[in-house]
Amino acid sequence: MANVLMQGNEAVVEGAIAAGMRFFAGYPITPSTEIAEGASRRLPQVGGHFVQMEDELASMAAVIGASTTGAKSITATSGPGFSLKQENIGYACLAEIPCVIVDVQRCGPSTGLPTSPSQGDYMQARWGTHGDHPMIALSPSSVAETYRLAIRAFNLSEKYRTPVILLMDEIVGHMREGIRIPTPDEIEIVNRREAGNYGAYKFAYRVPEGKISLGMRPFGEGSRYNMTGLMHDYSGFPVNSPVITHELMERIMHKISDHLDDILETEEYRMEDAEYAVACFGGTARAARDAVDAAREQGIKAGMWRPVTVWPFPEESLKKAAANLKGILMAEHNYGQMLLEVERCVRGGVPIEFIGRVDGTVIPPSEILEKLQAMHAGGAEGHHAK
Amino acid sequence: MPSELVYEYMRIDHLPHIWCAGCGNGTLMHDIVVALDDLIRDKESGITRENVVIVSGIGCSARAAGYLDFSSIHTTHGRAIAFATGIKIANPNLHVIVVTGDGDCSAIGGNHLIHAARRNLDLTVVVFNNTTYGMTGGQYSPTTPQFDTAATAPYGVIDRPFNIAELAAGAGASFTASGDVFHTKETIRQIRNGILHHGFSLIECHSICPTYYGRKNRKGSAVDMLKYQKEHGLIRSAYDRLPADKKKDYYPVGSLTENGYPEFTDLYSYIIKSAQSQGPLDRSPRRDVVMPGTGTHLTKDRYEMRLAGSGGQGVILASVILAEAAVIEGKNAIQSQSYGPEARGGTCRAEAILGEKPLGYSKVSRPHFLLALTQASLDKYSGNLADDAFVLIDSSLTAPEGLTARTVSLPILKTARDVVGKSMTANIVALGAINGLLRLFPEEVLQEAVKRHIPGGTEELNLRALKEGEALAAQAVQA
Repeated sequence: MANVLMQGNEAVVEGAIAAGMRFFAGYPITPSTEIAEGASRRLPQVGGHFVQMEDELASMAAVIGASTTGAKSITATSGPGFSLKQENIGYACLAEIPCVIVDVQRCGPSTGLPTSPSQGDYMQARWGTHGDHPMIALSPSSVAETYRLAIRAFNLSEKYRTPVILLMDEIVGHMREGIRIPTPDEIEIVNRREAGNYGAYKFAYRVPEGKISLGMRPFGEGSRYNMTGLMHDYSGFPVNSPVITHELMERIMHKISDHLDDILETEEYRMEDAEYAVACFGGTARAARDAVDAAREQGIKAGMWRPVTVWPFPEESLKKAAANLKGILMAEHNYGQMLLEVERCVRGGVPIEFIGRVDGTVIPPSEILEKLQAMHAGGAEGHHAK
Repeated sequence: MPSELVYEYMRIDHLPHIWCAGCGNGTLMHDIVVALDDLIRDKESGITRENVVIVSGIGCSARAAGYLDFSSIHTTHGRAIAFATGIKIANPNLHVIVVTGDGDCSAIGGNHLIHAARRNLDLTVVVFNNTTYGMTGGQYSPTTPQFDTAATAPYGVIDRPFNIAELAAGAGASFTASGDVFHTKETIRQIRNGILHHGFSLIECHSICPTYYGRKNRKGSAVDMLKYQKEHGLIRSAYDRLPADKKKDYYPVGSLTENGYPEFTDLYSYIIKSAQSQGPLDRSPRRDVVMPGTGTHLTKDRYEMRLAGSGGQGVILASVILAEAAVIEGKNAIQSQSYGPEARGGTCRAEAILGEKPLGYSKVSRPHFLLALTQASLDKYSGNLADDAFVLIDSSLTAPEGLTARTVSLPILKTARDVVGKSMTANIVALGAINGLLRLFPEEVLQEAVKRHIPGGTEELNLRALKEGEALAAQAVQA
């Protein structure tokens, strides 16, 4: 039963606060600004802190700094700002500092179309910062899901001590929908695993036996340890050793890749007996579901497969779904970024068609339906982006 | 024998440090330790071993964070002050000391420096100014004296140098001072005072780099460079007494500015108090909607409405209110908008999709209803309407040729201006007219939706606007 009209960006703030978020640093940028505005109004009410920093780089830095004191911290931005935040996102990956970064994607490159939707940051969410690194990114398709994933982003971030990206698009960020706010007992909150007070602490970066990630004692609460963006040993101090570097990289990559069952989430819509699947993510799913319904009415067995966790890519789920398909239609608001992942996973096993739109407008259900009809009739003409 | 302070405050398993023989950074790090030791021993200072955090960026100076046995974080190039800002704001009880260099804080991090100073957040920034990029091999920095040479200035630097203490003072730092490697006592005193100062403090410490800057500029050995500091660094009061033409040969050591501007986290604590005393704000989630879902006239599974006008006419708000009313009624609703960069003027299009069943696609494809308040928006958006579409336009507009949909023209703008007495209520007048014509919601539901989205104190005005809109519709229906 829907009982609150809420904007997607507003749902980020409310979901994050429900998750325990108490620090926001940001810089205004369309179409994410409502998140900063909402945080500036709501955080003091719950005893949290908001700061508008001088730029995007500083915002990301302040969010990481705040997290070292134990505060669940978040920033929100869009394309150009997301590019500027990338260096420090990598810092959070290597120093293993939990935080959530919201990117409400807009049409790019460069300043592009600031108020228009896009999904062109899909690959940047995974590979935006330099060097190999783990990454979790979640992408909501509705306001209610935005609320839920804002909480989940914090839970994953705290559990795995890693930055998590909430990869939104303008479609969901700027739309309002009726949602029911869950009661506190319906919400699962995962808090950071605390570490004890060890004084001068030499094992701040050693994962205890049987644990999946590091505990963390907030700065100022006894343990004195070092954090750095250089490759480091158990004690958190810089090393040049290839052996220790390899061990560290293996650990931060595997803490994610060994727990995909916990991290990955997909939505399958009318996929039980589907012959054709629309693959999509984020706001695109809304048109996809309508197109699937319309295709079903015409006797085309269509379904929708959507990764909710967009990074890591839910490879096994797609492979399983693809086994029974005659065709996959990838629809996304870019020139084929997730398409690359779909092609990689399916490896020619199923024909793949593509709708990519990069003109600042939203792919309508009719376009997806037409393509499904053509695929069903055996007459689709292959990839192209509009 | 090393000083006892080394065993007490340094991470001795990470010593010796990586700085070159003759580098001034070790002495400056020592000065920080002496200042902290003094403060930690003084129980009244509030400073303890546990509540100090050392933050550094990248460069030679940045290595100090790893050597000092406190909570420490070695961050990214230029961003130390920004990281420190997050730490201090999230936990104002911590004493946050930033150790940075001339390049780190005044080139790549210059923006963070001036804004932290302006914000007057209680950070203590100790700058190890060695006038060069030492870690990368002696390129020129923003403090390299003009016409000196560097690895990237083989013919001499033509940029003019910053005076970092004066830069910070100019940006609003409430405590600024300078020190150097030679005048240890005064430098320690300034660092100590800076840590104690409640507000943004910056101590610019002139370091020496015999390896790169000194060698490239024939400044002699480390001893020669120290001797230069001895002879040319003057305690501030002595420096200030020098005649103007002599000042260029000397530099001051000691306090530059100190004042009692209010500190950022203190001010923020008032914001928290004020926000909490106001209770939950109007836009926080409403858990229980008591409005009964009666008498809806909304029967379509998906009813697409488009409201168009110019920026500032409030069509977005009108669409939000329509969606809110549907939600109050227990229906589904999606609201979205599309607009250009202008806050006022330009064409603005807002959409509300209402329905009994869950709604998918978030955009209007073929509107069942169009409201147009300006000619430009009518001309732009009156195409592609649904077969049974209904159009409401302001009576100042001319329906374009070829518009076949049922069209009602009402004096919405005029009514808002002349009858209600406020042009800005045109969107609410329009809402009243829309509901009067379409009977989407019971009156009290729409009134409740309006109340939820208007500023406090404007209830009477807006409800009057709503009534006038309904009256316009009633007249039109009768006619």
